[in-house]
Amino acid sequence: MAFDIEDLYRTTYSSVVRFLYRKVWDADRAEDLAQEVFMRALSHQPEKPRAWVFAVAANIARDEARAAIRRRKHLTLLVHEPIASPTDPGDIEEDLVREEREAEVKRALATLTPRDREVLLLWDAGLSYPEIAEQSKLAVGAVGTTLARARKRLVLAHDMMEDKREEIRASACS
Amino acid sequence: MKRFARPHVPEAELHAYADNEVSGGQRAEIAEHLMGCLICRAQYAEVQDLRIRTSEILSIAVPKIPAALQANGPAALNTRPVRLTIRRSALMAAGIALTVIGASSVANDATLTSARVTLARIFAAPTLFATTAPVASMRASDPLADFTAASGWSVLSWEDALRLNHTRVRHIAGLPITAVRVSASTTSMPAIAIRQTLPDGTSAWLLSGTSLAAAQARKALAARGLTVREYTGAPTIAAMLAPEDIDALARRIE
Repeated sequence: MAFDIEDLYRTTYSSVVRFLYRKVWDADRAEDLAQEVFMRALSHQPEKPRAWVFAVAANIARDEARAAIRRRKHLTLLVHEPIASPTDPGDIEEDLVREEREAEVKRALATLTPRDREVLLLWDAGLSYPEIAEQSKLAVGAVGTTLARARKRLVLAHDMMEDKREEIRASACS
Repeated sequence: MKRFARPHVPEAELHAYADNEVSGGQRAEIAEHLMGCLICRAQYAEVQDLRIRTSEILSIAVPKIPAALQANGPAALNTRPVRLTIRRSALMAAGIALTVIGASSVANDATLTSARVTLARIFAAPTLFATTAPVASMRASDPLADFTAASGWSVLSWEDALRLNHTRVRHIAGLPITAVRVSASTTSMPAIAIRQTLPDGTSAWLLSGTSLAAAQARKALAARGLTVREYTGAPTIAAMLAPEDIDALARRIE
């Protein structure tokens, strides 16, 4: 089958961005890296494009994480000052709630083993069991087991955080 | 009796079954077992719940989208209380929001040479845009009024439409864009509906996108008695024009 970058872009771009976002946790960076993935796809013309873009995205995200650690070591002396911007207080509150909820998801994901997390994110990105198996070096039969464990752990971890949040709120009110 | 001798379905297999990742034969076998086994059925319900919860949790962790893209686009213009009243008011609110956003997208459209003239033309079409116009006539004259949040469409600025599609949004070159709608599909390139003003002051509607939403929108436009023409590469144009005039417009699609 002929390689069709337009079709690949149309069908997978937003999933790739989401997949990357859950690794780098920065919307702009995720978009940049996704662009990079599709640039590479264009020159590489992979045979199985869908599986290929997620494999490359995973690699890029891994390199990115290493680079981020290096950067942090160099930047510890820079003082971070919040930039005041005239925003509607309602928006700020909404953003704070959003950030809080996203941080919970981030922490819940962090309780999974790297492989369980990878399999879960790949499934959510729309890959099939055989595609996930190939990328994560698992047997196809093991994908279901891995997904079952990953889903349970994610939901459990997230529920516990939600409970804790409710407890704090309740004790703050009393 | 044979049914009871069969082992229960392993949990991993129930996940694969729910994910539609089992072979046809296995699928039938599991379905049959589920029919007769209360325990497995209960567990399957749990698996389905887990799948849904997982998707819900993960959907919290997505890059922030521009405010204009959120499902209740008109809410950004403080029409939230209006939405709680009768449907008629909600439709009016959508119409008003449409005017405002249409106007700003005109101002933002780089292909436009005389934004002020076009704005005047928009406001000069009373049945379309006067807030006191009866809902029925407003809807009759502008099919885009049907493309509401309730039917899965959001109001969008031209800029946001460009950003959303990363590349370009198809439009008829040289004609002012007076409204943009996007379908709420998140999985692939969303369907986009654009209204453009023709030189005689009437409008043409251009649809691009390959999804189901585009097909439904096409049907809605045709149901208005507009001439609808499809062209290769997905765009559809609808207008109150003769087919050959629409063909002439299609040659100007960018």
